[in-house]
Amino acid sequence: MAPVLISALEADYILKGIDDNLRADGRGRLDYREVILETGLITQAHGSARCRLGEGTDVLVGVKVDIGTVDIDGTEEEVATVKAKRGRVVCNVECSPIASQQFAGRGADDINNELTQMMSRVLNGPQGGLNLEKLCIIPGKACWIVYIDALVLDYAGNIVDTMFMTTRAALFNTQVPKAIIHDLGDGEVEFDLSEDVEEWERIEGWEHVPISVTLNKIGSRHIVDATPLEELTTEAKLHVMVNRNGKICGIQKSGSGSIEHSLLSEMVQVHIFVI
Amino acid sequence: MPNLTKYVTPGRRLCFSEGVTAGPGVYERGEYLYASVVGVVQELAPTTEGEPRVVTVTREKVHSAVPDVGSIITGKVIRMTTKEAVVSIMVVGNMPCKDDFQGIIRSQDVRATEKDKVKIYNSFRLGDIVRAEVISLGDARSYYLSTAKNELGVIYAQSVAGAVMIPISWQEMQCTKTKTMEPRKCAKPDIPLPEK
Amino acid sequence: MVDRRRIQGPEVSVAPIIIKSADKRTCLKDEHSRRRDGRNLEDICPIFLKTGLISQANGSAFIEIRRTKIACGVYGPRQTKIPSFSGKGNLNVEIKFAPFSCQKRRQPYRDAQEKDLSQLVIEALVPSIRLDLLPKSTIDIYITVLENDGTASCLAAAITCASVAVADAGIEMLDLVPASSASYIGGEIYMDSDLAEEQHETGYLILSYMPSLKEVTHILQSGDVDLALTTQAFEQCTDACSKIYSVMINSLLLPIRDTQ
Repeated sequence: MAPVLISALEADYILKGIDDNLRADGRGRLDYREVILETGLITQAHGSARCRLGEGTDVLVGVKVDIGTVDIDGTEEEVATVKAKRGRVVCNVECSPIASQQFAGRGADDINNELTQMMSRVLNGPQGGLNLEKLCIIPGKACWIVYIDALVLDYAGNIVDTMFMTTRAALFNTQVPKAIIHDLGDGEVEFDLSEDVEEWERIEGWEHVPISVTLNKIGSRHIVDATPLEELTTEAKLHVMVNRNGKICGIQKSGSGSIEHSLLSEMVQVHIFVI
Repeated sequence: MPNLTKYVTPGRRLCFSEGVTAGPGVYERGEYLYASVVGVVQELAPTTEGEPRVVTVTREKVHSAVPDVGSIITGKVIRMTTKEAVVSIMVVGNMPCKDDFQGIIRSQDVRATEKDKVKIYNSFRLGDIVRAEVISLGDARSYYLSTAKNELGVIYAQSVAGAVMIPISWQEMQCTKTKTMEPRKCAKPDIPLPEK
Repeated sequence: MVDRRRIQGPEVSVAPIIIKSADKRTCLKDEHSRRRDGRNLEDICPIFLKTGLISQANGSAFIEIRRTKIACGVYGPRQTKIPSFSGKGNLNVEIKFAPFSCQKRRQPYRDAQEKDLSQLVIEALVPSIRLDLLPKSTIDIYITVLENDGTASCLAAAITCASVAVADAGIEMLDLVPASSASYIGGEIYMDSDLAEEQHETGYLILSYMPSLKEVTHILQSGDVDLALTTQAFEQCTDACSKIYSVMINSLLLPIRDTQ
């Protein structure tokens, strides 16, 4: 069960250890735990993956694609024409109560919302990597909507990184059904879904989906991949999302501490080293 | 034209922290002292010899007070059980609270002597205004208060007849209209006794 | 059968031809690299900031940047209603977009985006407030966005406004927290972008910074950018924050100056 309180002595122990580049489980400051990743577990979903980080954090992601309408109201003309030719990504993250007692009942609402918004921010937009134009069926009318649902099954620190890793793997595994377009003339277009499973295509752009590196600031040092106890001593966390080209797709800070200006640049540079 | 450089905002660096201590409204970080509220910065001479100077920033605006251990509060009794009286804290020291806090006077904290023989009903009644001291931050809901001193206790009460009562002794109050006595744990009024 | 009682329309009708007006491409900057409102790329907009707006609240502030208008009220410190004892104070922020504030009407109830923005404002402000001096108390900050001209700059303005309101309430703080935003458009950094510029952006950055202590309290970036551009954006935002800081100080000292 993840502890919610930490004693001052324990916090001090962790702090001093990190200063000497030696953490409680023997890792260095920039070492990740062992990652076990499997895909294609759920037959009902169009794509799925599960990732286990060390002996703790376990996240399961299922991807389903569905037909939907394009959402262009409220944008000016030029942008609307671009949006009309695109599909959409809708994310949802849920921390299951079996992961930790603090998620029971309404306890998980805030963290669910925060993680969902974080994922939407990164995946919706050019930095998300996915080829959204390919997901359009009929411009301005119908498109594929990719529903990404993440379920946190076990909590042992570092949910964000695991979540992004699993999402990327699930998207690798995702097969989109083929849509056959019938032109009825007079500008009317209709489409049908092909029954043949062999014709389903892998979703394009999965390899450009970013993953995140979470840096935890403890004392005047930072570590990656924190365990729950280390997370309780963290003053501030910085999530940096990078894609395979080394480009930064997003930065978000969470936590109630502040980061010195010089330390911030240093922390962002670290991510390249880790990747 | 008043000297406006005395007015500071939070985060303003005031001086080096050597030889100076931080008073209310000021905090120390590294080797400097910084202001933490909007107000006038003042340097006070130490009260005793050999102590460092104290730098404070006094707030311009009346702010909402928060009860602290040891502060004297004034409040109204809003609920009573056999073991305790629940008080709604309205004033802390001299500052009013914008939003009331809740405090409890347990039966063993009503007076200093014969603590186990206290009857709450004979010490306070609903609607009484009491002066008490905060003895602890208490539990999640209320602060713990105590009236176990001479100058603490009921300072204003209304009798059953509806008139104002005046304290007769530390245990009784008399109604001004009907002259009946009612039991209360009264605070000693701070008026000097007349010359004999 | 011919209907003689009504005037018939023509038997053959075609849809009207709507002539699209010539090239409506919005040009975001002209040949001198000046934006549509005359600013340079790295200039921030003039800010109007006033305190003491709401008489009922402990502290309040109103900020107006270009067309964005935000009002903020601070109540506290008051007793925490939640039955859990905590040695330090609690900060609660509720940000709400008025239904008429955005281009598309917003629902009157709080949606997921508002909850997320509230959480971001909390994270930006918590490092600056001395909550350890307020045990068992809650500070409630209510932010209402009256007009939204760009979400990123709106969030930055909300953080600035909330910080001034907390200082106006007399709550002890370590420092004021100004916040600034920037957009990445076409490989360049546009500071403090408005709604039209935001729709063309490939990414944005919001930074809140404590100038006196030189610490970053919050950073949020989205979009596909490389490291060099990000670092340059940090620098520009930090400079902008220092400029906003002096405006904040002025607005807090103004009522005192007036009473003298």
